[in-house]
Amino acid sequence: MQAYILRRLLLIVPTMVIVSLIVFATIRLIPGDVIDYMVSTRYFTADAAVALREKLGLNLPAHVQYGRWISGVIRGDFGESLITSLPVADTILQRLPRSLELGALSLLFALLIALPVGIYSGMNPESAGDQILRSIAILFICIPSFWLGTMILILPAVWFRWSPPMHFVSFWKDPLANLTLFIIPAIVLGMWLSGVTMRLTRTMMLEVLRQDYVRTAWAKGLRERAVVLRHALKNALNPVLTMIGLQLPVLIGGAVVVEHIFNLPGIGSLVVTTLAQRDYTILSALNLLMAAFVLLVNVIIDISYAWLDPRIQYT
Amino acid sequence: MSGPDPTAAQAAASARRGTLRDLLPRLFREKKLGAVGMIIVLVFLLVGVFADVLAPADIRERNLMHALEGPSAQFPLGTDHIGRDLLSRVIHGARISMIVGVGAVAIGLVIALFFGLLSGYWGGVFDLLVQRLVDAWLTFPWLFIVLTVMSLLGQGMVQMTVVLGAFTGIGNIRTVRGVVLSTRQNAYVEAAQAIGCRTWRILLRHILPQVWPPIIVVFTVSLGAVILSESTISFLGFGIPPPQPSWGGMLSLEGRTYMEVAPLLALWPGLSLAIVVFGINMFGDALRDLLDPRLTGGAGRLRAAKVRKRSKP
Repeated sequence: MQAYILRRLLLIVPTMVIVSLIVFATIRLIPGDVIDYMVSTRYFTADAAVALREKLGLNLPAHVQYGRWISGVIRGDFGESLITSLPVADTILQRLPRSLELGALSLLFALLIALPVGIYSGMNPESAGDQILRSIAILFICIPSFWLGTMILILPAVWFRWSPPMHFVSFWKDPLANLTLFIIPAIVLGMWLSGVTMRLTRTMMLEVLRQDYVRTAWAKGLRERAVVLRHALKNALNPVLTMIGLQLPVLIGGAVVVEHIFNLPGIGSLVVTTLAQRDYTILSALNLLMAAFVLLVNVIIDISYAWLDPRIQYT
Repeated sequence: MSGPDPTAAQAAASARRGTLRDLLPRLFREKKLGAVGMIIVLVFLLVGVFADVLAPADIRERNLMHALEGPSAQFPLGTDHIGRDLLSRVIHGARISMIVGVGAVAIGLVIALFFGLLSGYWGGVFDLLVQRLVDAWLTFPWLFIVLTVMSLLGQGMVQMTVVLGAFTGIGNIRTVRGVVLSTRQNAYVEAAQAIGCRTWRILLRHILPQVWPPIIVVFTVSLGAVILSESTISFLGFGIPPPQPSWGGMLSLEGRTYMEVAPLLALWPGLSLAIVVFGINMFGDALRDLLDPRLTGGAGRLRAAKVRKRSKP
């Protein structure tokens, strides 16, 4: 088991090297030099541009640039923002907790809805309730989050003269105000995942409930609760967990949109502002960190299989 | 099992082709919702192709006298902030979604087939390299990297189509490779190798036909994802530039600026988008159940389980 965890963690290294190469290549090799752009929009003099190029090392060969960048990253130094000159790591760390809060709340929302509904649908396939709930799941999947978010801003304002709170309050200052601020964006973000999870939970429950060991559990005279929750659910959840791990990049992408619409100062809205300013030191750092995050979560999910399904043996 | 029986493989292959041929009647008979989805997709494609004919007004024509009006006989869905006919703009939005969607899926198909076929058939170092690249690629939050590339390439329909196509393609290399790996085991492929067929002939004539059913399913669903991505990126302001009526862009600029005066402005593009994505998803789900029960999904697995049970002695 320990050897498996160690090997799984070691395998992160080659993948991260490729990821870092992709990030580096996309930002440096695509036409449209950042400095040229800055000269054209920001009244830079040609001398200042040359000095900046020198300072950023953009005149060096690509492999030297990559080496400099990656050795900084390993030491936790992501460079400075091109616009504000603040250390990139500080900017990201300041905004990260807000995005994590949004993500955690939307995941919580998605699972609170999806798991009970999925279990119910799986236990009563093709019943009226199942059909209605499945239609709702499809609705959750099809409604674009940016449209839903915009509608939530518009319609209550027109109908009831009420609109969701838009000013950021820190959790530590006023927990209640902070939660009311996050709850609507979290629901908008979690809806899609909730629909997808609901459908998969239903399918997996259908499959697991058919298996012999579940029949044995029924035959032993166990109560429904015990059969469904203790015997069936545990095995049904395994693929559900994998799926959530695989959908994490989509969720992070959704957070960009939702934070932008609801004006939450997290990582997602940072992406939109830095893109508009072409602040590519922050962009490289964000792309790299998000990929690392997704990778890590998927490794943790892989490892947690052992707990969910003791039949899986690690060799 | 010493190896797959060639006659069984042939039978399976002809059964597969059979499912492709009588797909349409089965869709209408067994999958009512999927048929509805297919009709929505067809209507969407037709509206996209004939947008010029269908749109009642010129989308560039401004009527400042009629700005931000509600629905009327002259403007069935109302007008935007400079008095352009909203219905015509939504119809032309369908054309943009269609061009980007179909174009990106076509590009993606070529990429996925090329690398998937070669990687599955050759194996070895090439396969290893491609697979590691795909691994790394799949860990990216796609929106981050698409937005980054779009901001560097500049806005525009061509850029959007190429970028989304590349993403769809790379994401689906593995699906193709998986089918190739299992098909390569068949005796008829070995026979073709033994009589000295060229690699491209084996790939195109013997392996490709087996790849089609899962690929049709995967790329139908991808069409929905691409259309949704395009409008999301345009909504954020990095996709199709403003004078062109992209559904996402319409929601972002006019929709959000004038939302309190004319809330309906944001309603129509989003509603069209939701209906089209719904149709594509339903159609894709039905196709998956009919063509490829091995992939995870709705009733396909259930039916497979039933069949297994019945065939037990």
